[in-house]
Amino acid sequence: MAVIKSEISELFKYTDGIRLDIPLFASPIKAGFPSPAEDYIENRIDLNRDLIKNPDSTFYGRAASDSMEPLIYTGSMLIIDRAAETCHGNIILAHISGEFCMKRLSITEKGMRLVSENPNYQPIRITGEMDFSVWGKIIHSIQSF
Amino acid sequence: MGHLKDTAAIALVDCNNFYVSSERAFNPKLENKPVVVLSNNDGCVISRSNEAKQFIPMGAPLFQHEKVLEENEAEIFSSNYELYGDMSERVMNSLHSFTPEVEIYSIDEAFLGLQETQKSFECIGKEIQEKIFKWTNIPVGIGIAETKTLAKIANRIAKKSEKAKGVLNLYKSQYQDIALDRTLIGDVWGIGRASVRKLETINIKTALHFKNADLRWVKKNFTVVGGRTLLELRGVRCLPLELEPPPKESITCSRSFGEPITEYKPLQMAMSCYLMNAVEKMRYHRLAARNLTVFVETNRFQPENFYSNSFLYKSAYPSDNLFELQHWASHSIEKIYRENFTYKKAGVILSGLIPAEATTTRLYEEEKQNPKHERLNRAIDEINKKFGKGTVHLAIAHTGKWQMKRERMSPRYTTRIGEIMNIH
Repeated sequence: MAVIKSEISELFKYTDGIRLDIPLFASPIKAGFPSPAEDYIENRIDLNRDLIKNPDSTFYGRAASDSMEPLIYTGSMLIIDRAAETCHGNIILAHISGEFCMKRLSITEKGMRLVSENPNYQPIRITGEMDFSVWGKIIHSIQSF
Repeated sequence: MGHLKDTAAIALVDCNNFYVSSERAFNPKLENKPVVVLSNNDGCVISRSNEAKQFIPMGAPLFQHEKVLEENEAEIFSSNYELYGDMSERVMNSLHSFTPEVEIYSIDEAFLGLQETQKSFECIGKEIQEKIFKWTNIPVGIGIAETKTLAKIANRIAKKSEKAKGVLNLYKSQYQDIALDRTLIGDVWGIGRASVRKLETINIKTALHFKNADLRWVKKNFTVVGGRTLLELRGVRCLPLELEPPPKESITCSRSFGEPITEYKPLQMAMSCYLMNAVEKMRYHRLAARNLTVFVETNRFQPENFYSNSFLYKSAYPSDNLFELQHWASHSIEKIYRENFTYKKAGVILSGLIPAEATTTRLYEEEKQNPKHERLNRAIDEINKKFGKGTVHLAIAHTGKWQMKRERMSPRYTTRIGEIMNIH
């Protein structure tokens, strides 16, 4: 029982979603001296709140190719927002002829192209007869070490 | 009706072929192909893409239609309730950005209360349709009218009509009677099969016929419910939006087994798993149960060896403690288990529900709960919420063959980190 108890108190700390905690007070306050930081109390940084604007339109994916290296490495977790507007230069999740891919969207007077960061991959020119659509905008890539 | 007096119109938002659309949202290869989703245990077809509707009826058992599905190169999926549940929540949350008046009617339908603004209702409908698709990739159909019953009819036509493109506004519309004329009486919300037969014998075959029937006669022959439907067809609002879900009276978890069970041990294991499911739901709503029912059933289609029984465990005090409830359940199964039967289905019902914090202090020492149990229960809730259902479970609930058959399930793209989309 003792083992279970100590494990549980550990687990509780980590169950509130992704959170990066920056402590407000380094040590407990002693009586007599009001904390000089008292006027500066703020909410902690919360990646869920700060990185994700719209949870209902946000989805996750995993980079499964090196086509966007060195910008997005294979295995990185991608955060995709369908609600975000996309324009020239954005990194998008597109689907072409039934396949999902991550690419940089390029819209110039020459037309629309999907460009890989990795020079080993050729840009794809989007033509009218292609089965193409933008699934969402890749707004973050999380790489773990 | 309270604040609803300002509601000008009611919109019914209904997701098109919802389960299939949820699959397609993450798998573009499924576009323009026949796709079907199967019920529990891969038994029957419960959702069809428009392409699949051409050759397979709703509710068709898989084993009878495997050939025609193969011939048409249909894609077949087991139901992925984790995915559909999450997609439903996304759709419903998105609707709240248009109006606070949202009644979630089912997993894929909601009624909205709309106020009169500068924009036409049709325009608002198109905006809702566009936004839901943009945010969630789920296509919806929208019907707008004075009442829920009329909104249902508008929605039905919106989905079928090429011209409507999924949105039809019948609010104060000159086309309302034409729409009712094109709606068979059996397709009117709230008119059951028995009533249809009765109405057809006296030549009431369409919604319009019914609308123009005599109210007193309808009330006499089809009770107050029939009268309400008639008034709703005339644009009189009888069914208000139910914005707050009625409090749950009971929580049930019951399933058919993937493979039939005869022994006591696996039955107890299955029951324990259902109990965990039900308790998880109950704890989520912060409720405690006073009563627990377990039931078992053999195959209904083999009447020569049929057995079905249930046991109601009544407790002096309510509980939301999994360990205690497991105790009640074990006691109850013992009472109804009989040897030499092949069980096909079992379930657990928690009833007599009250808010957990309102539970009274227990008087007698032997009824007192171990305070460690509450912490352990909470830890189980948290772990399972974070790492997925069944990560931590009672040793007795170890999964086995009796688990639901879901052989063709797609990844749980939005609820399991190990199953998110792979992107090339």
